[in-house]
Amino acid sequence: MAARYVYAILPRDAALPTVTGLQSGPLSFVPHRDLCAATSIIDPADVRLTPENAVRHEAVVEALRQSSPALPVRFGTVLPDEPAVIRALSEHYAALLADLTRLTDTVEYGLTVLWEQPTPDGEAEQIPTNEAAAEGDGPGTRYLRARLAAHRHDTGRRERAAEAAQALDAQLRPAALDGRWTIQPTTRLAARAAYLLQPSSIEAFQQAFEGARAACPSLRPILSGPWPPYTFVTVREGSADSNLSGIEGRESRR
Amino acid sequence: MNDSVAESREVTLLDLLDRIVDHGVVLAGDVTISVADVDLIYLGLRLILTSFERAEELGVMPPMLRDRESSP
Repeated sequence: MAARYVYAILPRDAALPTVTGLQSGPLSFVPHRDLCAATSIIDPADVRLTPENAVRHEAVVEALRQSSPALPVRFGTVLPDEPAVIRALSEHYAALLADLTRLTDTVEYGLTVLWEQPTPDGEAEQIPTNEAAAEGDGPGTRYLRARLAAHRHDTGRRERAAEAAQALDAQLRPAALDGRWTIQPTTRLAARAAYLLQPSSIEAFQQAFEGARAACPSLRPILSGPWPPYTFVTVREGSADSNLSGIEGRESRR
Repeated sequence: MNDSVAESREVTLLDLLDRIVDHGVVLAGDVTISVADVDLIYLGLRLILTSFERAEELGVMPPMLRDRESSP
């Protein structure tokens, strides 16, 4: 039997849109009780993360959401055949149904916060040298001093990023159902966030964003959306941060 | 395309990739995709901009993604 690429989970009575999936495969629904999975037949050996496939995946999800609530599925979800899709729906049935009921037609907005004046490349090399070698220091001591200086620099940057996130969140959260922040600052990027909104709150949220941007002139926040609520589904792998809500740092997956 | 618009489009495609690769429903079964073991956030915005432009050249950008930027 043919492998199935899964795009989204929907109510069983959802309408099938006229859109093709990856590898130009026609869409079909695999039903199970009150749910169905939107799928297309796929060659698993050819499922690669390319811009074309990424955009195609998203285009299918958004086409499905034009006429029905739909839970977006992670890219690259391939199950060996239709019975496997049904087993997956069965295994996660209660959680999927609960998510679909909770998220319905909600949307997600993404916030990327850039530092207004990013430091030039090689920032780490510009750490104040008062931490550097004192007369008489050996090479080991000099190394440790440099490491300490770098650590303090990184800690300071993370603290500034957290402060920026809190300032922005204070203005944005009242207009949203939920918000999730990731604080892993770089020389260019301060923090990122996702906010869950009711469609009726989009205008108020955008106004709050304009106010937040004006109130934080040292930052360059960029808003994107609306997106399907990828960040707010609960049927996910059991990662330690899968249920983070609010402003917390998070270890990157490597 | 000025720097501000280009930067916004970089972020938009970065947002797309981050969402579909790192979020969304995970069902039982194998995710057969093979992705280099790096955090996409740190791939570098310039790389993502190139990919975004390629997606536009191919004419596979859905309208909602193409019109998604909300910053000036």
